[in-house]
Amino acid sequence: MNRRSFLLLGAATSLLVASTDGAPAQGLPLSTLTVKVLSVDRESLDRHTYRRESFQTGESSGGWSEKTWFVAKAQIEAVLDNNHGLMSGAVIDIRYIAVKSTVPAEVRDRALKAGETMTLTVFRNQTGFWWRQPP
Amino acid sequence: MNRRTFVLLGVATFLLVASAAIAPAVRLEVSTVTVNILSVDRQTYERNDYHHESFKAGGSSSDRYEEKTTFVAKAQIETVLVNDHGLSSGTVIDIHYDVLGGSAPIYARTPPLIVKAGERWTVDIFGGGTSFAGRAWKRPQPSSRPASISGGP
Repeated sequence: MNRRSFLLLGAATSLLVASTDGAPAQGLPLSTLTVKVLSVDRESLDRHTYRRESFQTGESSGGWSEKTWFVAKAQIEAVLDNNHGLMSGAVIDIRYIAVKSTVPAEVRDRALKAGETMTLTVFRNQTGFWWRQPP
Repeated sequence: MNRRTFVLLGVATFLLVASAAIAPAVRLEVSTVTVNILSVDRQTYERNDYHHESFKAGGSSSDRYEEKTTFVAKAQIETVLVNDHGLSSGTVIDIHYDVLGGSAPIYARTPPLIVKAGERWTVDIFGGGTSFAGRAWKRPQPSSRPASISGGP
């Protein structure tokens, strides 16, 4: 192996390591739209209830959290920032998750309502468009 | 950087990576003892319930749960079979253990570990002092090999 091959091999190895580390940091493209919500439906619900008891101290605790998956049918009225080739007038499905919980920090209860017009940001994954809810 | 330095750096890096990969793992000290159970107390209980429901056409719902109870048994050592902790017969130790349960099929297939005061058990223990965690609980049978009972941490 000559010096050039050795250098190329070293560079390739470092690039491989760097790309593995950096891959999850890549964000998905976002689009910002003004939409009219035509309908909203629940798709599924997960509920987790938990209980802890100590027989030494007599203390007990518990709580629950509930995630509901929604899909809204929405008609695009205006495209403010377009990274998905979207057009006014198109009807798209927008999914989002609402969270109720006994832990206040977990709660995410913003919802889309049929009939309302709102401006929102979406990203797209394998299952379609998702509402990126503000924190 | 000349070629020789570069090659030496490569060899040093390889040796460093190779030595890390083949470094021996530190062995957990585990003793095996046959004990007489003096008392058993429940310490904690945890339960998680999960419910899933699909609202799509033809969707279904499901429920499952998991539970864990932790116990501490006070036990007097009768025989030390494997001694990693300088144990001796007659010593009274605490043995902590968990019993898991739930709706998953594995819990129906495996009998739960039930330890009672007055019983003799052979158990692997790890920890230190007089407080240990127990696993691989077996009923000692003098004439044949003890049958394994599930349970432990």
